[in-house]
Amino acid sequence: MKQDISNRREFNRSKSNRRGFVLMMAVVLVGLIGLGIAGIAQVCRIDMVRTRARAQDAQLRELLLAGADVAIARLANGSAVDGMITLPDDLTAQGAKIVLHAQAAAGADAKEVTIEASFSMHQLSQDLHFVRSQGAWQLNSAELGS
Amino acid sequence: MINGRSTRRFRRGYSLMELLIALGLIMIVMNSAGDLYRAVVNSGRDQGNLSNRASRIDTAVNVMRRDAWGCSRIAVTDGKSAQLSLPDGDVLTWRIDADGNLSRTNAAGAHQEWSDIGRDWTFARDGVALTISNGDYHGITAIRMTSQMLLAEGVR
Repeated sequence: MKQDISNRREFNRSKSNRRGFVLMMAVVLVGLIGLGIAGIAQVCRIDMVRTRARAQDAQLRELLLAGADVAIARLANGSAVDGMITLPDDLTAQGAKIVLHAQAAAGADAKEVTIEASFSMHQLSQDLHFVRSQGAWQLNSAELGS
Repeated sequence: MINGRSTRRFRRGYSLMELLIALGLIMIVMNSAGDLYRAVVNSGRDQGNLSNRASRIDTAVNVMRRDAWGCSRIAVTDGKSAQLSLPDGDVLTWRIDADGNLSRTNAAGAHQEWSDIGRDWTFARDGVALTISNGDYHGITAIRMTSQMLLAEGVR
């Protein structure tokens, strides 16, 4: 009888030990898989943020190019350069905005135009320097801001 | 009730075959766990390298984009170097060497370099823009950098 109980205890103990080993292995493997998934998720998140930022930057640069086009046309017409540019509704709905600021540079034949573009809570600007040559305004330099 | 027959079910030890099978299973599991561990460690290291490289590429491309934006002339010679002439007379030379290092040198000789980011890159001119194609993408233009100066010249 005593022998029998002792055997049963030993069996239960060994069964419990085996369960402990399997549980430990399972926890370690699940932990490793979890670390791997967390790493991949982190890379995906960084890539997503970077891609979105690049897309917004590209859109802002397009707005700046459009702003420069308008500024050149306004200078050529002799109309006031300052002011906001009217954009298509779908762009406006996404928070797109282009504002032109003109100021006289050194001399009457020079003008500096700052173009500020906004899109989806992000902003980018550029400075254009114009000089008047033979009665026409010509772009002398362009600097992409921040 | 526990009788003599039932006690035979509780054995004192394991047979050699059982031990060998258990050992084999443990080895298979440990081997898989080892592979998994190595994959996780390597992916962590690769993630760091990729992040670092992406940061260097972003910085270099940002500088190049500003140069291209304000340049009044783009000259691409052999696909591995491009010269951007600024209105103030400065000439910026962007070059990719055989090791993939990207460098920027101005007329005065000031030199900047970003290591190991452009091994498969190729410069080209596309109208009013300087483009970079990447061999990894089978020549598809990866980055396009428009020149505001050249675009305005076209508008005039």
